[in-house]
Amino acid sequence: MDITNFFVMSINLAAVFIFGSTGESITEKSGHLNMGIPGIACLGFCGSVLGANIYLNSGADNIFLAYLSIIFFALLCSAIGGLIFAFFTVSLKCNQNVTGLTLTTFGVGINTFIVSTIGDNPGYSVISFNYFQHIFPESFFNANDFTKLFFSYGFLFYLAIFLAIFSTIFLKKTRIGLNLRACGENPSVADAAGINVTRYRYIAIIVGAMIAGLSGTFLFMNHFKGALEYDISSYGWLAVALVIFAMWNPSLSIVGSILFSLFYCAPSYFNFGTYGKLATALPYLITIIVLTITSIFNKKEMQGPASLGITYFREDR
Amino acid sequence: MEIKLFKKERKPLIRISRKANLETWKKILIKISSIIFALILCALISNIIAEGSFFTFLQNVFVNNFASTKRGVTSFSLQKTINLLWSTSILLIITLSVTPAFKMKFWNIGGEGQILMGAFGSLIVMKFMAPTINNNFAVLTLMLLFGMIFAAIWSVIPAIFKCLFNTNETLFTLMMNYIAMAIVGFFSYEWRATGKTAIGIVNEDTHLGWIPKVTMFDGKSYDYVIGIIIVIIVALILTLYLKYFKQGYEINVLGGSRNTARYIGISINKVTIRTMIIVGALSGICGWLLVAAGSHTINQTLVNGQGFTGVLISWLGHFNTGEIAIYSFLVAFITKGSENAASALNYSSSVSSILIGVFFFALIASEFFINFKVSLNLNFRNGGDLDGHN
Repeated sequence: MDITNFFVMSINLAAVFIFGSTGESITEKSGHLNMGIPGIACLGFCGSVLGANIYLNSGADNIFLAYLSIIFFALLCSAIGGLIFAFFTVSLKCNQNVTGLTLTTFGVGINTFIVSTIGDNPGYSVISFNYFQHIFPESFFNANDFTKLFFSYGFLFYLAIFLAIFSTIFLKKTRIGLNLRACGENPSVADAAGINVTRYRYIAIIVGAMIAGLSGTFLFMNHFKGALEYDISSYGWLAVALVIFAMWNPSLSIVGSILFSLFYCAPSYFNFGTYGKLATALPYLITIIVLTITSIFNKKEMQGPASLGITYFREDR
Repeated sequence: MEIKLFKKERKPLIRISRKANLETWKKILIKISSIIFALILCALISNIIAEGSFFTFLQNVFVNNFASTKRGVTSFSLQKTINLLWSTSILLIITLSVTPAFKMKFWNIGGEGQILMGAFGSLIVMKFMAPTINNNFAVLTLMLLFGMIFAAIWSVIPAIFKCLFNTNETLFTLMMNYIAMAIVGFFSYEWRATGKTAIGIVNEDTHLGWIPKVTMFDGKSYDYVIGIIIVIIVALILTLYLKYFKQGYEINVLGGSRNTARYIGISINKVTIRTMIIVGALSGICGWLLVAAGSHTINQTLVNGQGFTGVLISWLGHFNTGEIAIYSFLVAFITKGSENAASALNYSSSVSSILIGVFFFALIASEFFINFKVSLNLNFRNGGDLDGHN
């Protein structure tokens, strides 16, 4: 059995979790817990299918236009999901958990409906074949195990890594990042310091949703290779759990994502015999163990933003 | 000459302020109008999907949930009404089973897994012990007991970790759902019927562990009737427990303020674990009903995402059994209605989960209009104040 292929497969799938947890980290840093990430991933998926379908129907013959269309519609749909969440939780001050769960129900429903209405198209796998699978030429990365491990992925994977590292630097080193974190730690103080809390939260939620929505695109174009899927919310839930594991640091979530996806891929790669079905519980079991360990060694810097999940209303002081 | 000491300040266009206690009839009015708004929105969505189906959709929801059409004549159908009430009861008991946990601010979104484990416990009895016991009542009782124990074990594990290490219970319970699904998936394949890939309907010939049918006034016998009655009894008992018993009061205090609970001598850990055992037992009853009265089999999608719906209903119903029952009915009503509409108008039945999402969004938004006052300040450019003085 070729262990390198297993690692390549798992590291590749990690992009799903990296996109999801990076988006959720940015959202949570602003103080809002978005439990709608699984739904937003579904919206991203359905946006990608929509984009691919529009490209195929237009009759254009340029693969980059296809990419543009897919990513544009994925970002658009997930941004709408984020906007809904932001409107309900920031402007209407509704309970974040409840709004998030509703958004998940809604997103899964929209995805199932639109994807099953549009239906399958052999063109999807043709689009997915190129740079979505491998950005570097095959003769280059197939040279040895090292190049295989590092250079055999599609461009969305590298985008995920870039976004995760960039978000960490952005949150920690820039003034806007500092302001955003202030909104999550203590919104009333941030407000008094002249930071527009509402605007920051809106932008953080929408940008976070757009990044999380790309996980849907990745699943559609890379993991499923253009095949259609209706309910991808289980990936989204793992991404939400990863945020705690990564201690709200998107760069750390790269490590966590790879770990999670190793366990996610193990049942399908190794032969567990009849226990294969039982082994699908592995990533979730690992999540529980990780959650427990992080809660046992509870330090101040390992905790989330102080006012996470609490809706801010200026007149309540 | 007028001396301006301060720069004239601009007032915002929209001002939001908290409302003092609103009268009950106004609250009810806001709720009803948001439900009507949601229904109209659902019909509009249906109209977009299938052109000109606005009234067909409403007819499917309001009439076809209770009536069937034979040879052009629409008449009341007891079967359809019982089916609707059965869906309502299942939603009601799922919601009630998560409610005590929410009431003490324990975010248990693992209802799905707990119910599945309850169903699994019941199924073990049904499949392996029923032939030796061979008495339907005894089998059903033992199934109920096993279901409650299995589900209680599943719900008490996150509670123990919460008490010992303060582990995040939201994600813990969520992950337990997927583990429960994996376990059920594994065993339903392991115990597959000969020549099949799933467990199939259990005791199809002997009907052991099946809740019996009941003959209604029209002379026909119907499934589910006993199940519906059991749910109503459980709902009444739980309401009394939460409202009039000391333990229910302790749950309430814990939900209000953990510190208050600590100061008046309530052991937080004890109450948390005890309540989660009750939550598990209730989920066990639900799982038992799903197996014994519903499908008589088990698979990974037995609960079908209703665990999450239960969470939403519980919160929107303010943990109040009456409100929860009304919302459970409405959700079942819209789900069944949109499924009817989907089959009548030939579109995908997955529309129902979109419409349920829309319905919940409308209800969530109605909370805003109950708690907050929105005042428009059309004179905002001149710095006019809302209260009339400049």
